[in-house]
Amino acid sequence: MTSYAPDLMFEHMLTPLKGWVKSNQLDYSAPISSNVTFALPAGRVVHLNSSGEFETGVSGAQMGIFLTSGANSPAVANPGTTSGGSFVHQAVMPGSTNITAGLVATGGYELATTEFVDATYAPNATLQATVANTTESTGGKLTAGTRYTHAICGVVSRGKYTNEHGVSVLAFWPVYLPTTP
Amino acid sequence: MSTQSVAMRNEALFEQLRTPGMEKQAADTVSDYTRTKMREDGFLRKIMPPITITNSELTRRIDTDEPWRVVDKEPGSPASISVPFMTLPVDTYITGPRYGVSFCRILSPRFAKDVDQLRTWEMDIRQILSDNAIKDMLAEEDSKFIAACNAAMLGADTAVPYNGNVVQWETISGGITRETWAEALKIMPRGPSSLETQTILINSVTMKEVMKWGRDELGGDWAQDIAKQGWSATEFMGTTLIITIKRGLVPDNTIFMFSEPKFMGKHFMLEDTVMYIKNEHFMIEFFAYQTSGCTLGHTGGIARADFE
Repeated sequence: MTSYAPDLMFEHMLTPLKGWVKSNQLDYSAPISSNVTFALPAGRVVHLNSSGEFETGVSGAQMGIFLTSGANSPAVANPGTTSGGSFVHQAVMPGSTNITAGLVATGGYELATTEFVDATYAPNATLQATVANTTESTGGKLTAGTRYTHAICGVVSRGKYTNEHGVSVLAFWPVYLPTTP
Repeated sequence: MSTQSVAMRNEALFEQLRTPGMEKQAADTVSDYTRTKMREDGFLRKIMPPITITNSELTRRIDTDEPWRVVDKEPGSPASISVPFMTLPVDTYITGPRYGVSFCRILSPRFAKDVDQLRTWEMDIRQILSDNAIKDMLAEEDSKFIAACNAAMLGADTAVPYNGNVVQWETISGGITRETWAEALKIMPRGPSSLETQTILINSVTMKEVMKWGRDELGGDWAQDIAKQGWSATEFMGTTLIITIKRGLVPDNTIFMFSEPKFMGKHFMLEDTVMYIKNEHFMIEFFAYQTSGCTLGHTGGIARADFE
């Protein structure tokens, strides 16, 4: 029998470990593209598409942006139609443009994300993020990457560990290293 | 205000910011001004006046610590029926709808300046920048509101299935006359909620079309008064008129109609407009922000007429 499963606010999260909480943080806000067919959680990597909207992962010369607010955050979206199509409400603020925000890879941070492919990560390992707008299990998740072959958006710092909330996270420094042109 | 007194006020502000411990007083000065003087008051706040909400009135959730408020909505009920004797009533289990109001922050740009470059301004640049910041924040509120209204009505001449399949956004031919204006006022009461228009939102250009109405349409000497003095009435045909300069949101030859706010939804203010100022060595920066949420829980109290 399918039953309702609750969510915890720290299950899908981006935690800035260093270099954040300052007035000159490098962040960027944009709407989520309709090409992304699943609810993007916080902690995933996105890039800007040609329309200035967020899509999952990075490739080529795309700049990585690490989401601080997921698509289901009440400050991003307040959907007003049930799965059965019944009207509940029409949100005004936040509106229907689903604007979310994230930290830009070239900012000076150390971050920890819940959104990574489970594996062993040694310090200084390079990380890429999968471009997969329709695949929730991989779209925008960090995974091992090869310099100059993949668009690298992070370098492992203190590695994978279980945080104070009992959730597995991967700590890394975001970087910008596009593929060889 | 004379140029000399404006320059003196800039200098006074400058001195406050340069004096340790005076930052809050300077911030209060700017904040007080921000709260009382706006270039064009946003129309959302007139149509749905914001309700100040405190932490204790927020609804807590386990999946997020972001502010959220659940609002009850009037339930529907089956109709009463006439029956013969020895008949018992039909049972109906009590339940009802609710909706959620979430919150977000509206931010102005952050203005920054080397304070030594402020010395040479004679105009009240502080007032201009803070005016513009507040105006832009209110415009953002209005923009979101109009977008939500248009989305709720689905589109011109389109029946809205969750409001009795009536058209709430209607194209009316015949220009803007007393007759077509009255036709527009029919849109809302045609809906299942039988609501009447309380407020009409119209832009200042479209209002000039109404000013063309002659004595036979306006009646009495009002047409003469308008010809001499221009339009000044805020009440018209039993409704409150809000005239806006935001033609990008309220197009020409269009009017939006709204019922009483209690039939529309909720507009909550968690933190009203605040002007943050920071003075660090010779750099000053400031920006405005607010935290608010607004949701239309019932869209039957919204209508739109496009006159052509």
